[in-house]
Amino acid sequence: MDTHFVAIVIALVMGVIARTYMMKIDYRQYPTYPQAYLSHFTLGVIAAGLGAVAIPAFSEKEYVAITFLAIAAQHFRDVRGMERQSLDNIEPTELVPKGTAYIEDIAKTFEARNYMAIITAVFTSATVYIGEYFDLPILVSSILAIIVGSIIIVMLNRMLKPGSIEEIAEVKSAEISFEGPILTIAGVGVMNIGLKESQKVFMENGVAVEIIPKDPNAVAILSNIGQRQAIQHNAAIQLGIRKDVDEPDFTPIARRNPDNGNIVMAIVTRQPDVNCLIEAVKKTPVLESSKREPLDSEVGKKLSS
Amino acid sequence: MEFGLKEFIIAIVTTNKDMVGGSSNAPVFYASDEEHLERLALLISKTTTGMVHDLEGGTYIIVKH
Repeated sequence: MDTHFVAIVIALVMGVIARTYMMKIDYRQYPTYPQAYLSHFTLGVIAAGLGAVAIPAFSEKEYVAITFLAIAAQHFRDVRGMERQSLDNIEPTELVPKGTAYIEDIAKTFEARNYMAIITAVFTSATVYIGEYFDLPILVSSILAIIVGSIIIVMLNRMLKPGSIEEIAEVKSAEISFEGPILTIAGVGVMNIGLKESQKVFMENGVAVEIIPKDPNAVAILSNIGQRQAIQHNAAIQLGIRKDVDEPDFTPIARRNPDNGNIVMAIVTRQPDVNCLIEAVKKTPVLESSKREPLDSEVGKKLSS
Repeated sequence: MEFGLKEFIIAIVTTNKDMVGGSSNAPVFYASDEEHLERLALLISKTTTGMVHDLEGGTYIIVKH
């Protein structure tokens, strides 16, 4: 059989698998819909196709093919823009907003996943040609290509997986109390709640957590407002928030203890189950845009020693 | 594009006439007692989607966040 044909078909299939494999994870993490699913699948097929034909084109000395990859890169940057815009548009309709940092992260992820399809396809088709170079039978090099493709998929998946709050901090339940009208969690004043009725709701149905960062890097990450917004959003989405637009009192707010960098957050949910809240906070991804590593700097090292 | 006020005191509700000066920009509502105060604050906050904050001493402010 024609090597080009074999290489392109196998690479295309592997590229599409790379994209759809990530799409499953998508469903759990981000709200996406049948329409978005289809459009991202189609984009994934296009990305895989571009990656798949790159090596065969080179083998025919068609070096202009590289420009197609450049166009692809441009196109997938547009995907990021599109995703960002659509999430920005629905942001005012969220009871607890995601925040711009979280949106940016999601948009970046969508872009990166298309590149993942391209990379997988390129490596897969390259393997077929390497096999041909060493005079391996086409069947053997096809199987090798599938193996290489799978390894690339697993490796990229592992690389792109975001860390979670669980890895950088300890999360434990905290006590809610009122100091006059000030809602206080674990000794940190969070906000002024005037209405006695709202205070009662907080005391009866409110659950709170304290997030204790493990090291100075974690303190820096958790101080990021976008990261805190993401925690609030994730907790509200997963536990179901007891709030409507005319009840700003029950908006979850994650505040920082200025003394030690701990974060406290209270939320009034449908069912006050603190263990579920801890679970939801722990599983919140660490945003790429909030990642800081002060310990890697000279100053940071000096300060911590 | 949405336009609106933010971080702004929409109204002051109080049982203590001495608490609020004459040059207040926000409308001031005088409540007859503690219960009336709560009720007024709730009604205003529901109408304006503002948040009620307690300044203690019988004064609430409703703030748009």
